[in-house]
Amino acid sequence: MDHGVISSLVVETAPEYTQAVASELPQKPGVEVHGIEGYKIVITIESETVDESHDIANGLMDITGVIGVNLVYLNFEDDKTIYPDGV
Amino acid sequence: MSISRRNFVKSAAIAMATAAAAGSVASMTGCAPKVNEPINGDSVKKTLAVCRFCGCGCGVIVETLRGKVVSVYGDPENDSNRGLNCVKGYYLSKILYAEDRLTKPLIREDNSLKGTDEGFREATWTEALDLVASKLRETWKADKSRLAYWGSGQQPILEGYATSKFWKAGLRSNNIDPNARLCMASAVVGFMNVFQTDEPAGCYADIDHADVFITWGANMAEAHPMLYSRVMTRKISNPKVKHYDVSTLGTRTGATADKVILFGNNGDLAITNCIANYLIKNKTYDKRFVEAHLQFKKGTENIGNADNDGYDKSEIGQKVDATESITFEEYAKRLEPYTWEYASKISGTPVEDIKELYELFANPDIKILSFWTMGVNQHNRGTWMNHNLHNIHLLSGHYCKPGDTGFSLTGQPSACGTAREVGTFCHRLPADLVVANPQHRRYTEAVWNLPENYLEDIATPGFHTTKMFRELSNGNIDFLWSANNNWAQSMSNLTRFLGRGAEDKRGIFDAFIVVSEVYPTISTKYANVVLPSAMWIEREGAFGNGERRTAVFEKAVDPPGDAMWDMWQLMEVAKRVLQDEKIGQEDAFDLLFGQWYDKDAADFKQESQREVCKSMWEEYRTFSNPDLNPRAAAINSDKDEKFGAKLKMEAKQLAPYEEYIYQHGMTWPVREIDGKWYPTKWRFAYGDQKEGYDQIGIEKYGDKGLAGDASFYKSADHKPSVVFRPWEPPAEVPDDEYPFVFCTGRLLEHWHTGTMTRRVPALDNALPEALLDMNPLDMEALGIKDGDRVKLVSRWGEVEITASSAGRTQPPQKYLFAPFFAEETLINLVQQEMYCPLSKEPDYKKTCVRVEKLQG
Repeated sequence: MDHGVISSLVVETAPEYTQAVASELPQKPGVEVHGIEGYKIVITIESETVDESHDIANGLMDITGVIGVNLVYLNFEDDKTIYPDGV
Repeated sequence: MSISRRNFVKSAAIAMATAAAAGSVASMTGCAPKVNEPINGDSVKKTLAVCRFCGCGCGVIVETLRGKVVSVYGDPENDSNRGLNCVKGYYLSKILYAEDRLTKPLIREDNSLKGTDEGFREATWTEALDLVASKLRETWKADKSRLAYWGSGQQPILEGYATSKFWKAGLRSNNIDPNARLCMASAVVGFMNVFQTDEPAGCYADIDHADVFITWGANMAEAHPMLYSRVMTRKISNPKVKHYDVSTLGTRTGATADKVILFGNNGDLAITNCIANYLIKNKTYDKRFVEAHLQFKKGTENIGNADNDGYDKSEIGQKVDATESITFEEYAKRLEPYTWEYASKISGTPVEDIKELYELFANPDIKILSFWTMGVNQHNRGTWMNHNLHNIHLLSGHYCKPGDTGFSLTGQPSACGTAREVGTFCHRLPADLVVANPQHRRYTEAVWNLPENYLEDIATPGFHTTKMFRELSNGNIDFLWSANNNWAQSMSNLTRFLGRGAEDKRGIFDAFIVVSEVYPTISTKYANVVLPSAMWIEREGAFGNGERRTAVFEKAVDPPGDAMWDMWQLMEVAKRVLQDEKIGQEDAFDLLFGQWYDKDAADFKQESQREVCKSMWEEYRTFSNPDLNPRAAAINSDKDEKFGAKLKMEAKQLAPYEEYIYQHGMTWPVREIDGKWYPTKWRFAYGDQKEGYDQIGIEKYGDKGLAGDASFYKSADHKPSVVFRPWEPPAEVPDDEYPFVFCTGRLLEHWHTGTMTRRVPALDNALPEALLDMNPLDMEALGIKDGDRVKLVSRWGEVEITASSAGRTQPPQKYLFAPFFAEETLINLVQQEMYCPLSKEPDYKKTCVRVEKLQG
């Protein structure tokens, strides 16, 4: 994606599920895995809007083995629902 | 954005998340994105902020471009959250931008339409302020018992400070109380009774050291998500760490706990007394700790319930605070009836579960961290239950050691900083001082540069929150101003307080009501004037969170339309009301606020909000730095021996304003060593100040070398009071007519009454409706299916709501839960208005109701 909202998150997993969760995450829309720190997985989500990003992030809680989803960074200067005419 | 900027932003995002996952603050600091280079000639500006939502008080950094917020990220240097935010962080900035932001003052022209959004016209600030001030002045001059201000634990610290100063010194009225009365008052009275200081001894870092977590009436997973995430991290890092959830119903917190212990019927009081009983009986209490640190008391018992407007002044109501000293042996004797079997019979909790909890406290080799919040505080014996939790931690010596203590969680971002520390309560003055104490009044007069004895007029506390709304409904309040809250949805017994009951009270319709707000709410529907406010980072402010951390949020963007800073609103009202008034020989307004506000210019004297806040903070922090004011210092040290006691105001020492920006927030007391300021993370625990221990406080006031390296130097005789508090029943017990126990509370997506979060479509879609959570067996017995509409009926009122067996909580049989965020449901129409007789905090957890299936 060359535009839109970028967020980075730390996904916490039950230790025995870390690898399985890391394998499943890239199947979610806009999600990329960038690294694993113990049982924590570093991801980015790219989407059109903040709402979409939030929905995707919230949906990660439904993956078996995910015990927490923490937002770290969110940039939304390209979200047309917030800034129709840009920033 | 351009490809190069996009690549930059994404790599910064990854670096930040990687550092946050690694959990090293030092490594994260270097990773903060350096995005200050110009973009098409404009710079991205970074400002410091604190999350606007719950009591966790997470730090965030806000980035703006061309006056608009473009990104937010968790502040890696704020020790409360270390770079992480919960998913509500997605909407921190979006809450600024919903379409119906209030941008013009509104004046109600048609009082017959009160209770609706209709009947208002737009007005200028001058018109609105003239009207508000004339009504307030008229009431003040006629009968000042008939005016009131209802504030908030969401009001920033200095706005609370200035409001309190205006109300207490300008109007000399104690009819000011915050919505923190609805959430933290029982914790406050508990702390004051036990320790004579209102504060948790521990900090969030305790989570990283605990071996056992016990949540008591606290759904942390939904209400304190960042802290709960830290609990989970601790559990995963050490599989031996266990979590017990003590609750009246199943929650997301319970779902991830190792064990859920359910109780009912105020059984928490019996369970804690049972634990204390066997700690003593089996000699498993911490003898050294008890001998070194504790004194024992008993208090007034059989205190009934505040079921009538005259309760506080009744014979029993006036005795509820009384205590008297008893011996340890007498205390033990009072506990004896609390056998396993008796506690089990009262609570409905199996004996083996109570024994399991007892075994934890009887074990000196583990670190126990208890968390509690609304289930304990919103309780008709909320103060007593706070006592009992302190009691079992103190008796067992599991107190004020890293990872080993009791911790009362707060519900709002500045419940501690503003309501409690500033003292925007009807009985308080700033910095733990109370109106009823002459030495405290003298000290406040000194800091505020008032003539001696000027505050004699406010020696008696004013109306606490429920009393305020009771008197409003009775027609005894003529003027009410509220800000940073939504009383028409969050108060108990709304049937009465909104004038909808059978005995329809005209008060709310006849009183002149002013609401400072950012969005239309149900409270603005009852307003005569609505003042549009700047919100969150549209002005500078500071919050004080649940771990004693003071943190500043900087102004990042301008407010929309004509919305204005609440501080400006206050100054403009105050200058009008106090026009031609004198304090001594001086102009009243100028004496109180002239340092900051030029009434003729209608503007602040300082060049920026930063400078206003910095200057006002210097006065506020004089309360905790008496050496800054010789008159105050003499009262603090009782130089003339007039009072017979020192005040120890430095015990809650605050730093200069910029330090909070420079250090991204600090937990008080902060101490200066060689020109550098250090926070205190572990109160009353001796150790190196630079490591976060209370070294300087103990060296100044306390005693070194006592059991547990603790010294409770704020307490009378340096000994906290273990007060025996018996089991007494809930205000209502189920019967044939009202067989269910109903509880309300917060859920993850919606912050309190939803005035911000429900304007975010994604959050509203995630949790669009307040459901009535029921046990499937109860539904079956009543012939109710998921999705059926039902009527919930209590002695107080009724609401219609959708029933569900698949909601967020899992109540046991005869228990119900529904959240209070939904205005269309207005669940508090059914809430009882009983409160804890000591703290005056309403019980939102145990109203008895029946459920009727609606046809069709």
